[in-house]
Amino acid sequence: MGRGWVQNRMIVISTKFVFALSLVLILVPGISPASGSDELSRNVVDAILTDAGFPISESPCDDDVFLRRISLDLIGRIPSLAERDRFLDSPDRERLVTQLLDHPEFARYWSQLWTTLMIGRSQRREVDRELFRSWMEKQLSENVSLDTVAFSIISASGTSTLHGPVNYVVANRDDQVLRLGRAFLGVQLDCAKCHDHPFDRWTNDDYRSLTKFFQPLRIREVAGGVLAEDVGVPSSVANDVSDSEKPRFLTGSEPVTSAWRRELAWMVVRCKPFSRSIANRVWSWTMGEGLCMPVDAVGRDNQPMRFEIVDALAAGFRENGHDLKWLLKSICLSSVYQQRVAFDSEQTRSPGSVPRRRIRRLLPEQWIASVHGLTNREPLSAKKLSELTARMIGQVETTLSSDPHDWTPNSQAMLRELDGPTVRYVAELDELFHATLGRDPTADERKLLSDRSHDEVLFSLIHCNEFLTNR
Amino acid sequence: MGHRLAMAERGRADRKPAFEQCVVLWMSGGPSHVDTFIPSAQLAKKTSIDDMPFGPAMDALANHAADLCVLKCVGSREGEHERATSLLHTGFSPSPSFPRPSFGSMVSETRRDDGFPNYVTLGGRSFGPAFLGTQNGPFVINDTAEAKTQIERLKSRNSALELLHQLNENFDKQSPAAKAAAVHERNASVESVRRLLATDFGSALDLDFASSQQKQSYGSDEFGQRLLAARRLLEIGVPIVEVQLDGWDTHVQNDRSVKRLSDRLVPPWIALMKDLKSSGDWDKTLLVWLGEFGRTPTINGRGGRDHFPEIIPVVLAGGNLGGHVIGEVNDSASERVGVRHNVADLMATLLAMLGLNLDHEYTTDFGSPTTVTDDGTPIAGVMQLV
Repeated sequence: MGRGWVQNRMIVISTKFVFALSLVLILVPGISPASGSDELSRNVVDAILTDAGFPISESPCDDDVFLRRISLDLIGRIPSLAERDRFLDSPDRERLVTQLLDHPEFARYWSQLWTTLMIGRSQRREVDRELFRSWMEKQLSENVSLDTVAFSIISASGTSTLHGPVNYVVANRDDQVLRLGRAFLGVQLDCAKCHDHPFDRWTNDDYRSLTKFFQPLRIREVAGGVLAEDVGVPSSVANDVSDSEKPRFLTGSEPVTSAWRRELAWMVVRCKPFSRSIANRVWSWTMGEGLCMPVDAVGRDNQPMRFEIVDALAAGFRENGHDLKWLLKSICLSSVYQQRVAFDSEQTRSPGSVPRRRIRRLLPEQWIASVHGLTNREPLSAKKLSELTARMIGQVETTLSSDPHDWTPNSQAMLRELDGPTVRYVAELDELFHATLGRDPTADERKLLSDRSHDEVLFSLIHCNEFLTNR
Repeated sequence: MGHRLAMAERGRADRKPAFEQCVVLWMSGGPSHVDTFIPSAQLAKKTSIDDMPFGPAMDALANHAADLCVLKCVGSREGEHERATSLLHTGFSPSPSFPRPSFGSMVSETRRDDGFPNYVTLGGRSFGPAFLGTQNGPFVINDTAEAKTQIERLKSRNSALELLHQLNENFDKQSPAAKAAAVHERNASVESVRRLLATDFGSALDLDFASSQQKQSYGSDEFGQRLLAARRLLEIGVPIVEVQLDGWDTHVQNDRSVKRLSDRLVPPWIALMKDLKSSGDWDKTLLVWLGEFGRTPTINGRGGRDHFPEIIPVVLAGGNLGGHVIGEVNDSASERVGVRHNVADLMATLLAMLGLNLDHEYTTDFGSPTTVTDDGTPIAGVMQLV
């Protein structure tokens, strides 16, 4: 228990209080639960930033910008016209965030993000990516705490075509430790793999001690899939434990049973770097870049102020049972998430600069889902979305970071995007703009587009810079 | 077709290339060396050059021995497909923490950007640019007809693309100050496509434009078609094209499979060589034929041959390279008894012939400098021929 718990309590009380207050003040525009001047209604993230000495931005973005931003970030597509009208009628941002977090497309979109992080984007023969993704979707829709999810993934055993999480183990068979470090702990052990660096904290010895956890792991092809299982520790090592033979976690802990991988998973989810790396990652997926950068190197050394913020956020995350929805709600209802961002804001970053929202290009999944939503009420099936994404991206090499946003389209991917099937949506210019960009056309744009065919107008709208940016 | 080398423009001290362009014939799976170009004494078949016997599958090339340069000196220790393929494409043993640019990307980086991709792969597998940037990555074409149709469809959308460009410009004008990186990148991507559409890249892929004589000599088999597309790409100036032929992993029934593959491989290969000679491009185009490793000289229990990285068959062609053999193997073709070279040396040789400065240091995107090859030195026997 600590500050986090108290603030959590305060938020529960404060939201009820402010809701009641807003009913009374319904005639007064401009007051929303997220930006009250009342001490009690301060959002966790706002509080953390204020404590760290960063000023809270007081100019939130417009409602339609917020709606587009939060829809892209939480459910992976732009809002439909109906959703837009509904929200603009009664712009309750907190209710919107809660609704989106319970939306089925939330679990689906975020399962894509986590899957790419764990397994990468490319379709490989021995990895059943879709099975992993659908398992992940189930965990997200049931809001299983992330430490439980991570534990299941790291310690998974079984056949790839029958058990979703074991595909993580199979996909990373070449090097379990590097992926573990980057995805779950926020440490890049790449250099330590080969040598000791004078300035790095982690040494070659640390790397090798971690690999020993995976010594009992056997991965082999069986009929119908790939089987990954621990076949027991060699008895010569289990009993006669010379220090150089036993695995050792980065905290120094050593396993006490012979279920080394399970113990490793336990050590990982219990340590602070785990919650910090998740907090930083989720921050980067909503705010546009991590508090600490690179997103998978969450260290104190070169960015101490940012690190303190991640640490505080991670503490809250831990205290709230590693609840992803808590984390998302805290971030998305904060002032810093809601701040107004101009398209021409130069996005420089220095260790002491205020954390701000960074403009990003839409992910291929987001673009495909958004375009599909223009003319379809039902969303694409997850499998279809994966297929279309893979086709658009083409063959892509797995990078070490494997963050879904770590992707630059080459000219082939651009060709495929521009060569997509014609989207047929016949409507007035204003409606086309509302549906795609969420705003009215300017006078210049009206002049430019008024005598062009619907197909051409829609083509240029869905491929234009503004449509493709998430701000 | 003048020099497209960017080096002088960028002030880099690369050497004058022996060859301006390159075609790589990548035999995926590991081609058996004893059946192809490095036969054992038992399997050797005479060719038009005295000391240059070929294996039984290369009968059709016997009269063209004077065009080819066989390297019997290259070998490695990587016997696993993924690792060996990566090694042969980058010149380095693969390491997940240090991705290396492929041979094609390295060549692409030294060439000027004329709007179309500098490195094209006709086949399914591709090897990326690592830290050299996506513009130097391979343009992968699995199906030339589909790629051509795609480009054509886009060309027909010209007025829509023009409208898109105007809409973007309008938008950019609204915020004339420095723009977010995401918008920059996007503009660059769209611009690269517009430039691509303005080149002959699309029509190069349209094999219908080829002369009927060419179509006949390259044949209707997929590999022949790919080779014809490669020829046309070279003509518009693409400096490096890789054409892949899969199926050489003959653990079972080696002889039959190798025969079938050779029947697909050789006729269009001969057609390509004739084509290059008649158009005067023979002296400036380097042809490289290779795979990730050779195969065991002894037949296994299923009539096949297994992986044998000790000998990697490599054949070069172009300019004055033809009619020579570099290196020597023993009678059973199981050991290199002459001069021995590793893959880093092979890579150094190829890069040097294409004009790269081997002392150059790349800067990776994580900041550290790195060398072009893994400490390789060009093979003397080859370099003295160019």
